[in-house]
Amino acid sequence: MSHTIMKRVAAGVLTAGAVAGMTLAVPGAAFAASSAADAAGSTSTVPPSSPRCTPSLFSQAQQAVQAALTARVTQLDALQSAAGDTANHLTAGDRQTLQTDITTTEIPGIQALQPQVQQATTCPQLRAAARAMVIDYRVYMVMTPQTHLTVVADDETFIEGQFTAFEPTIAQAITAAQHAGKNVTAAQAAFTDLKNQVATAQSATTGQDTTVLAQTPQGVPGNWQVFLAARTDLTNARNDLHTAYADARQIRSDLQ
Amino acid sequence: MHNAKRKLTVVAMAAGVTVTLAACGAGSSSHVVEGTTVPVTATSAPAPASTTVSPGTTIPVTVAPTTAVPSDTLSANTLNQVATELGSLDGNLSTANNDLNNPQGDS
Repeated sequence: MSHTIMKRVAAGVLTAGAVAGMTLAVPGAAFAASSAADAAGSTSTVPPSSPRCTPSLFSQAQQAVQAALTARVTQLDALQSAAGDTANHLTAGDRQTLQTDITTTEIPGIQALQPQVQQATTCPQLRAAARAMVIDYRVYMVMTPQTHLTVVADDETFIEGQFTAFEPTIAQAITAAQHAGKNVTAAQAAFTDLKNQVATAQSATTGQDTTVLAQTPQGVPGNWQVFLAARTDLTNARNDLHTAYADARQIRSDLQ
Repeated sequence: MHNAKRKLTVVAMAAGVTVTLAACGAGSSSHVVEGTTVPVTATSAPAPASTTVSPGTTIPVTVAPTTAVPSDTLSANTLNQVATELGSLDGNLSTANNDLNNPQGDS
């Protein structure tokens, strides 16, 4: 996956150059008449820049950048809704961090580029705005996974809290059943597993929100690995919590 | 004259006993309710509860032991609530997976 994303980033220098004018790796390639791959005679599958920013194609390039900005505003609105959705269990602090980032940095920043693109009359002007749109804000490669992974991390923390809150009373119920002469072997085993699963999930979840929220647009592409690692840990925690839930059902069934 | 006095004494004593019994009976019904200390949760270890009928009199009441999981801990509703949370979590994780599996155009 890391190779994939790195390829995407590298390829994007060319492909997004059509729209965004990313010229860091291949100066001059963006909006040029031919891509670097073409120039090198490469058989790369990287699609050519389209539309390229030439005087004759300026209008098309401008429209493409405008569409990309509009799409980012739409995406940021969706992220803002996700961050403000009280159905999830974002902590107050994490919710505030995300909302602040989205509403005071990302959305105003992208919206400020829209009139710049509308008023641009040259390819360098268009390229500068497009470059800022991608590199300064990283709506898709940072803000989006950052928001959704933080929601997942905090959701898991909340569910872990639910389980740990049950644990003392489950223990009492098992003890009471045992004193009443019931065979609680299976229930006890399930309870032991439940506690282990929850503890493992907690271990995988702890600190993930902080780590994910610490990522910035300037950290691309390296922070992609951070997101992937968080995804792995959070997926493992999710599986642990589902197993804990199965254990809880087992306990309830055994004690009835 | 002696007979009349004796009759009056017997009637007075009988009336007193009647009043006393009535008082006990009337009071006992409310005391039974107010003094009951039956465990609220079904998980408590079986323990005799005392019901005060009247001052100085206690009637032991034994609550049958139960092994049911406490309703406020692992009830079907509680488990359903956790299941709902897990379902929501799965949806959010799926969204995050989609972000990472199909990153859009920042590259």
